[in-house]
Amino acid sequence: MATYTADPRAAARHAANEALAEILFSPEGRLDPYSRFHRLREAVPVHHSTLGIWLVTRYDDVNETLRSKQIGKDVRTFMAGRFSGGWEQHPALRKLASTMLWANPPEHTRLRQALGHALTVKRVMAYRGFIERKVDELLEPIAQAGGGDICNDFCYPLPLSVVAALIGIPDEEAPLLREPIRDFQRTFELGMTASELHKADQAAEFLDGYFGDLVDRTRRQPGDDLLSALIDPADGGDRLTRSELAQMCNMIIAAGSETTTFFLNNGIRLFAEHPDQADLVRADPNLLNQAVEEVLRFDPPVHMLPRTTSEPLDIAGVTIPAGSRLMMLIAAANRDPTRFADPDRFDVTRTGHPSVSFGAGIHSCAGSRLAKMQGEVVFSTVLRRFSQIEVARPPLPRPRVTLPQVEALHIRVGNRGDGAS
Amino acid sequence: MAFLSKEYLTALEELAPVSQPVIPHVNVRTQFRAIGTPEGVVDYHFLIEQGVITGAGRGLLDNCDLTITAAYRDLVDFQAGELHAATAFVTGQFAVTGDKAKLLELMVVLQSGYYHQFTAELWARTAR
Repeated sequence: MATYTADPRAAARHAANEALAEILFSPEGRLDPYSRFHRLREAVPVHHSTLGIWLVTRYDDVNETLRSKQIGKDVRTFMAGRFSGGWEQHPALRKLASTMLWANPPEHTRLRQALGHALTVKRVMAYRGFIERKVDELLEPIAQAGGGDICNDFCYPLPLSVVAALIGIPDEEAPLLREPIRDFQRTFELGMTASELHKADQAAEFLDGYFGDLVDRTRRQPGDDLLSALIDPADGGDRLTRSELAQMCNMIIAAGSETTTFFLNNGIRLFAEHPDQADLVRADPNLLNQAVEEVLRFDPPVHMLPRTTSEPLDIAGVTIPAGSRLMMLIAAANRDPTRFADPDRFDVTRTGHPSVSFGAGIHSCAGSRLAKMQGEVVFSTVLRRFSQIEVARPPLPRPRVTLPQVEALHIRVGNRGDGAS
Repeated sequence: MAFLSKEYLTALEELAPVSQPVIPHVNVRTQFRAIGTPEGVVDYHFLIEQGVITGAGRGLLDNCDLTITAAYRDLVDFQAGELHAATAFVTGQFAVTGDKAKLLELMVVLQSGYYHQFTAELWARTAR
């Protein structure tokens, strides 16, 4: 480690860059990003890294900045210089740029309102029974075997089935979307090889074709699903074009499945690692909502959110120029000790500030209610059904940055006294 | 021209200045150690000044900021565009010692489309 004595600000910037390098580019950082988030926040809370990206790590700064009108999402600014060749030649990049996730007002407002009118509380709540049945169905083989890969055999298929059913995708077609969605999602990462971009391009073309066809099928035969509601808004709201409808379906699947996968996966792992906290929820089911919030705070599926500035912006006295790239480190904000007492303790009885795991402002997660409902059903079912849950082998971290997480999670399940674990 | 040969590194050094933009704050001296090459262990280095690879060659640097040790197979995959630098570092396939903060400066270069483009051109005329 280099040392600086003359310029304490240089020393702090160096410490922040060192912590960031470990978070993004080291095996140790993948295994334990949180201690490094603390180092980064303590060194320089609003940091202009040598990657050229501004990093915001304090809870209040992240929360306020995400709500700022000077903050936007310009995908070409954010990804500048990352890919060789033109954007237009890559279907994956064209698709990335056209999604609502990277849109700004007034375009974003129009699309978000259309989604909001269709994705009502009533529609979401109607899927609780479907989720309960699917949880039982997917959990049964794991229970029979005394364990298994809960990540790939349970946490992946469940949310994919749920959002697919919500949209109106036939149940047997949902699994076909898993790999293309995964390949396309790589475009959200900082690093991507030529072959990964090629795969993402192929995935984007497949998904465009699939969802375009789904829109046509649903127009011919509408049902009681989200896509039908988007095609024909009951309140006379804005009608989306075929292309917008296809992109909307893609966005809902992409944003609503893998993120929820790792929310559920992290929760099950945390209860396995903290049996005392699992026992608290078993003893008092009224703690379930707090437990869901604590899982989201303690280990969120998404660690950072990209943003750009359209005009100069002040964050805690630091001026960020127009045209800058920012990363809102929501996983760091959730461990900010000024907002969460003893932030590195997993505590299902915790009350107080909500996490920023679903973001904030105009781009906050539209599917947060659906994700939380899945968490409630999954955690209550798993904890009720198994009095013992253990991690069977150390999870293998994925080499990702935005949505880091693991490749698999092998657990053992059983009940005390039955010798199953 | 063989990968990591003197000719290869000379060609890379010549191509880089005409292919890379200047980035004033990016200055890093990187030592590489390739394990398991057809010649055994090969030490080579990159000198990056203002975002541009201004020197590349065989041998050890006197004062390096970073040392990266990697299997020859992984370096080939990286050069072929099959392995991203970020993945290689996160998985430990590229093992780093030295000033970790400097790794960010190296990544500014290794992640850029300019670097990928000119090394892909070089790779196309490299014997494997």
